Amino acid sequence: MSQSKFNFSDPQFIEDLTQKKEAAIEQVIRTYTQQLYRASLGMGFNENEAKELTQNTWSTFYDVISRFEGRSHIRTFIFGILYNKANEMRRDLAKQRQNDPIEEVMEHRFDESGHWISAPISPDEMIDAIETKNQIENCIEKLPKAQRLAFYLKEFEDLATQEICKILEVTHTNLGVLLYRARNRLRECLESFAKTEI
Amino acid sequence: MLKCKDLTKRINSLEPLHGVEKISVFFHLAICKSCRTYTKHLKLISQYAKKFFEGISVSEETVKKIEDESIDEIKKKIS
Repeated sequence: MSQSKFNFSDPQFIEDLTQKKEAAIEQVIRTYTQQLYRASLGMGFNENEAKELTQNTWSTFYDVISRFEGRSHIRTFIFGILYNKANEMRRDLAKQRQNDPIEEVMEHRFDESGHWISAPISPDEMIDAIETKNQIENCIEKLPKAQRLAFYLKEFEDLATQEICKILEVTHTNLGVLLYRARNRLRECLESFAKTEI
Repeated sequence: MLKCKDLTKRINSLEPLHGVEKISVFFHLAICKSCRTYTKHLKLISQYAKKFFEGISVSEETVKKIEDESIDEIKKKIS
């Protein structure tokens, strides 16, 4: 993550930015392009799409920057645009908000008294599915976009939950649900690979 | 008594565990192998997913190109 020591919260800088001063905008672009591009790839877009997504984000950033009030970090603002652009490219927002089949899968993992019906595979078998069968990528690919981005921002960018909520425009509870679903989808996916003989 | 099903929900929640809850999670994990395995799975997934994301290669050249093109695009808008 290439964040320079530059202070993006400096009021003078924010004013230059909202007044669309070229130097301030260039500073932001030079600092955050790598992070945006990487996040786009992390969300599962191919290189051309990721490039387009990043450029579209900057173009929109320029159009809307006068509305930035400096109440959140500039990074939150930029990632919010990226997320909206990503959803324009792949409209699956409606689907993500509704019921996810993983909830039912989890429901069936437990008996009436709430205990595991059958034990999860051993950690070694899990490692085998990830390392030998090389399935982590495959399983991440299958995550719905919002879950994937929430998971990426939490696990890789290590952002605070509050910031992720702002970026994805979801409540704290909804973010919890997204992460719960993402982790369990990955777990179920890896477990099913571990159980199949290749 | 905390059930396995509740535990899998609770440990994924973003709310930190407090007092009594912390103790019941602790005791449940102490006696339930399946739930211990489940938490290990989550740790492994987190660890390996991070590795996977780190492994996504981003060439400096590509990034520079995107930066330049984006800046050019904005300069066109300004003028």
